[in-house]
Amino acid sequence: MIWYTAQRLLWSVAVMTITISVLFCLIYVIPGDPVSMALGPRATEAMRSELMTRMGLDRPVLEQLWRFIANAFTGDLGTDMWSRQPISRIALGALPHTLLLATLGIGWAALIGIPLGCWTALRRDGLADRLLGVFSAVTIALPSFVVAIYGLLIFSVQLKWLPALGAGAAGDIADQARRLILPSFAIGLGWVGFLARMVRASMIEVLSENHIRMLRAFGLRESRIVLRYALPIAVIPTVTIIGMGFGSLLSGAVLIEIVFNRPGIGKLTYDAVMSRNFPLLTGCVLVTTACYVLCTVAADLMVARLDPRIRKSL
Amino acid sequence: MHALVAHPSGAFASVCVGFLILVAVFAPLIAPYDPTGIDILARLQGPSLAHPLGTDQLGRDVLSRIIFGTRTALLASTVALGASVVLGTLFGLIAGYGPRLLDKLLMLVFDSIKSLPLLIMALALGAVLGPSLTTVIIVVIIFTMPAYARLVRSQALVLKQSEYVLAARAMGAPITRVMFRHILPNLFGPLIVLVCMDVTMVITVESGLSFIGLGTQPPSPSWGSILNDGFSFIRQGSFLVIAAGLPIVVATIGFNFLGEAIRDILDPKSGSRS
Amino acid sequence: MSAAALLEIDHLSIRYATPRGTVQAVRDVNLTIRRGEVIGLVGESGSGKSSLVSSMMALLPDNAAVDGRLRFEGTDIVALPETGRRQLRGNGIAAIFQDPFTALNPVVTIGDLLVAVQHHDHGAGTREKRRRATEMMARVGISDAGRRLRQYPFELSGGMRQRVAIAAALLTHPTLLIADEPTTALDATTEAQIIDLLRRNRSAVDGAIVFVTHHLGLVAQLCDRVAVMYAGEIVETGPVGAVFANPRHPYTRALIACEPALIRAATRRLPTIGGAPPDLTAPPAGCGFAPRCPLADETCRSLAPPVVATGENATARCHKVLP
Repeated sequence: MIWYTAQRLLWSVAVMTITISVLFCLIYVIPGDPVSMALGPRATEAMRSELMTRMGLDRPVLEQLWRFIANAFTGDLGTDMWSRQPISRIALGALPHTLLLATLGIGWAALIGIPLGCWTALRRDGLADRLLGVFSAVTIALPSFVVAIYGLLIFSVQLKWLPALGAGAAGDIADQARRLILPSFAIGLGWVGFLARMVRASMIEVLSENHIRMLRAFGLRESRIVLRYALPIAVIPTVTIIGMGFGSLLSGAVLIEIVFNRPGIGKLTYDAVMSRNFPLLTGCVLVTTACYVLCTVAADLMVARLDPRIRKSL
Repeated sequence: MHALVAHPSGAFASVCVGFLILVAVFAPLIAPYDPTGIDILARLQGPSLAHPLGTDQLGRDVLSRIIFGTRTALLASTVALGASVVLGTLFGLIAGYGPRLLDKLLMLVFDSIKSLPLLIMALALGAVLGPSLTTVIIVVIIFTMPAYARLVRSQALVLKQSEYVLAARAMGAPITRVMFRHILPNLFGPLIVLVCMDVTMVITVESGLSFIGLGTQPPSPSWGSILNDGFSFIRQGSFLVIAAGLPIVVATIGFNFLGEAIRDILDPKSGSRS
Repeated sequence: MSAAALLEIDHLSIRYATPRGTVQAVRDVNLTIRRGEVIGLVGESGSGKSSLVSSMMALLPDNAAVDGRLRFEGTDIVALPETGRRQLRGNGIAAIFQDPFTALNPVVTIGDLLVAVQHHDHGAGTREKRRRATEMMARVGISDAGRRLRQYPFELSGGMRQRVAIAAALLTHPTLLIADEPTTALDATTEAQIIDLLRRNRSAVDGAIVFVTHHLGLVAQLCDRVAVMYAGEIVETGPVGAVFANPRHPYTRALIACEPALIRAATRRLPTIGGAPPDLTAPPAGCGFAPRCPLADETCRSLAPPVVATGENATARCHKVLP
């Protein structure tokens, strides 16, 4: 188990390092240097060289890359040129907003989707099962930002039930919660159908297995068979998907955060792109990638914990 | 084809997708106006006989822009997924038939791509390469290609051991012939299904990035940027938003249903219901 | 029927609706199982054995249509609603399955499983049930029971898992124990051990054991009586010694001739029965074995054979009962 954990963590560090190196090289090798982009055409030569030195751009690219990665491992992502604040602090300040949104989104989806999947697996080809089939195919396909915009249109603009934009006043929990409803709905909707479908499929498979027949032959109650003996096996693939899904929500939240004008790592990345703030962009990408990769690893480890066959083989 | 029409959601999906393809192909004939023609006097009009879906903030005809947006969406899908299938086949064959070390390395790379955040990467590349439809297509190729490579690789690994391929190779048949004779025909079904599902993804990414201004650049019409135009004026009238969102809804649902229907027909046991 | 009858199967037919048509898996089966006997149920795959056995376990799939009666200790299982059937399963009727590699739930420990199967016993607490499980483990020949109870099925060998399955069945004190090909998935040495274990525990079952197999040698070792199935019908029943010494149905004779363990003369070629069993979506009007039977004539092909009494507690379903 320890060896497996270490192996997965090592892999995630490698993926992050390579990703960030590629991005770093692209930024500094491909057309136009970031300094003139950042300063605009009216910058004087003195301003340029001053900024270059401050950003360490006068050194060779590889040395810059090495210094960046080495610093990143100590948690130092550099300093933002404009606000003069550490990039790590800016990025980590935005991250909780996104984490909260993603947790809520996948949370309500799992709370509804998993029981729905079980239920339809037990009532195969019933009306609910057929409806779920159509519902999940529709919601999986719909882009979440379109759901967000339509939701906004209906509930904020037309019905005026929910506030439209922003994260809410600081300190006002009720207001913040109300402003989370629509975004988390938009982000989670597709996951309801997706998770229900996954659980349904694996539940049907598990229920047809021999060991379930054995338990039935001993007269165990069907509800107990499903909950105690089938569900723990049937949710294992779902856990992987939720872990990876959580990661993808962190990145998928970009559009949602922009639509609802909410603070978050996605919005921050977008702002960094729009203002051509490359150091901040690199920092944001690093933080998001780290979260995403760690989610994948966490899901793998979780599966290993849930499945004794894997747990004991490690 | 018959089975598709008989399939309940398959028939619906075929109609949606067929309609979109027709609109894209005949866009110049159908569209009542030039999609980029600005008429500042007729800005932000509601639906009328002259402009069935109204006009945007520059007085451009929304219907014409949506019609030409269909072209953008399907063009992006075709180019990106075409390249993905070709590159995926290539890498899949290399992984399947090449040395084991190379296979392991490629699989590691593909696994790693799967664990990267797509939209954030798209934003970053948009910033570096400059926002454009090309950037969107490049991102999509990077993220969809591994699935095709995996598919081809697994088939190649199965066939590598099968006797008739060994016999064909032993008789000196070149690898390309083995590929066209044995590997691709076996993969035709799964590939089509994957492509249909991925079209949904391409359209989501393309319209999403265009929505935030990092995809198709104005004045070229894209569903995403039309939606953004509407969204900016959501309080002046919701009509533009509804109209611009609908094609995205129809396209994503249509292709997803089509993919599922084809999968059902090819493999009735696959678990998804008919 | 005699007072000692434990399970009376009376004109039982089982049909399944499939996309290809209705499969008549079991056709008009009559069989009485008495207390204290071990009966071997023999037949090739597709003979309807599994369906018959499932119905004996009070466990039939939803798409099965059942006719006739199946009385266990006087209660007709066929007429019973699912809740009533569940009360019999693991509480009077117990089963050991074919493949120990897949028959034990992978996410619970052996101990938890052995406690769970005793769920019909509301009088005893978990601690008591666990103690019984430990005891039973020793009885089925598993040493170090305390440690084994904390292990998961995948940590045990196939033979060990089958011992656990037998322990599970015995823990419910069944009056009818159904062993559905319990050794098919095991190697020869383990098979011998499991058969030995079953033989030693015969007396632990206060009722009858149904031993399902396609292996005639095992029937000879373990059973008192044998019932031979072919194409959904029971074609011959009788005491093991009599049937093996003098089979009265041509199919039984052919089957015995094919059994390597029972072949006495040295031969280079194992005998086989030519042809294939009939399609059970459209069973023949006459005898199901007629197309493969060397003795078959026009009567056999057109008329369903009668059940002929061939001795005490012995029957054969044939027009041409062998002398």
